[in-house]
Amino acid sequence: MSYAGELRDELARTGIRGAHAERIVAEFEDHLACDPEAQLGAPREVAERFASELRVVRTRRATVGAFLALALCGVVFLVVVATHGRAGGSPWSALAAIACAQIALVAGLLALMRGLRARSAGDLRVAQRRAIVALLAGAGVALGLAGVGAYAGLVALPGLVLAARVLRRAAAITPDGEARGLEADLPFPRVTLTLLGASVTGVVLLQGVLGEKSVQEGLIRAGVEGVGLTLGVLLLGRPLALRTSRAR
Amino acid sequence: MKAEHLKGHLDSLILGTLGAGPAHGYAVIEELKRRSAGAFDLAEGTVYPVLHRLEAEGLLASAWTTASGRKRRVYRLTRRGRTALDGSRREWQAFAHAVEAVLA
Repeated sequence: MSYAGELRDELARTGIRGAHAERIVAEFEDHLACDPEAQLGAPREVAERFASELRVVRTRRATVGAFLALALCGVVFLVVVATHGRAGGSPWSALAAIACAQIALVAGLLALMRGLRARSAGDLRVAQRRAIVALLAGAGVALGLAGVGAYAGLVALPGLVLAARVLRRAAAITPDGEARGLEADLPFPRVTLTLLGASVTGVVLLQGVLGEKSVQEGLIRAGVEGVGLTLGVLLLGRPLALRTSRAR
Repeated sequence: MKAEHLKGHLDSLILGTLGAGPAHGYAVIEELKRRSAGAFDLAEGTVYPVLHRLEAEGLLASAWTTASGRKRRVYRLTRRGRTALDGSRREWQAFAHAVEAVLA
């Protein structure tokens, strides 16, 4: 097989395909035409060097892109909440939209925090995984809003899909690796998480008590929020890398 | 020159080479070799991934041209790339003066 053919195969093996792979092959062919004796290196090493150089910048771009798409989703969510009132639709859809909005916010922030600083493959994987969770939750918000008849929520979907495509390109060239947990992002992660959870639950309690003028309603809502947060940490602890693990 | 001496400077060297004007990958490598009087005789396969990363970071832009019937990718500095190059030059001059003051 020719050098170009081997290089194309190795690029595909590392996750670089399509127009980008063809561009690299064309550049190397041009180089060899300029100097047929050039030592460009073994195709496998060259392909791995490309992936290694590009994965950090692609992940950074993907996490920033995901955050921007989620920000748009957040704006849509707030506008719909402010204008839609208590119009009909499934209460489960409303609950799903509210829960997903919180997951998207937390996962999106965590993805950004890791994505902007990560250098190792494991940490890049964590940033990508968090961004996936955030984007899925963002889609949950959009669909949940549609479920209560607020179809304006669907305008956030194209941005989320676009961000997912950028994320996929970054993930394709990032291998597994040892990843750090939440301690890499926050000082005193357990205390911070607990305080954050308590604050959110407190806000929900106050909002229930003052908004509905009912202590009972406030306590019910705060209870639901507390249970939701605990379940969220238990279920999403691994994908969000809240503990040290091998990122996959 | 030992490869580890180049570590951390390759980005600046490539930006510096392209500071003189647009060039394709082979020309960048040859120009680096020429300007350094052969001291920076880089493994050729190492330069292209860095060119691609610098482009992804917005420091370079590139476009296809045709040369002798072949497709050729030509790189040039962007405005951000020129600013980064100016910064690298200032940093290197300060570093070189400091080292010289100690070693002289």
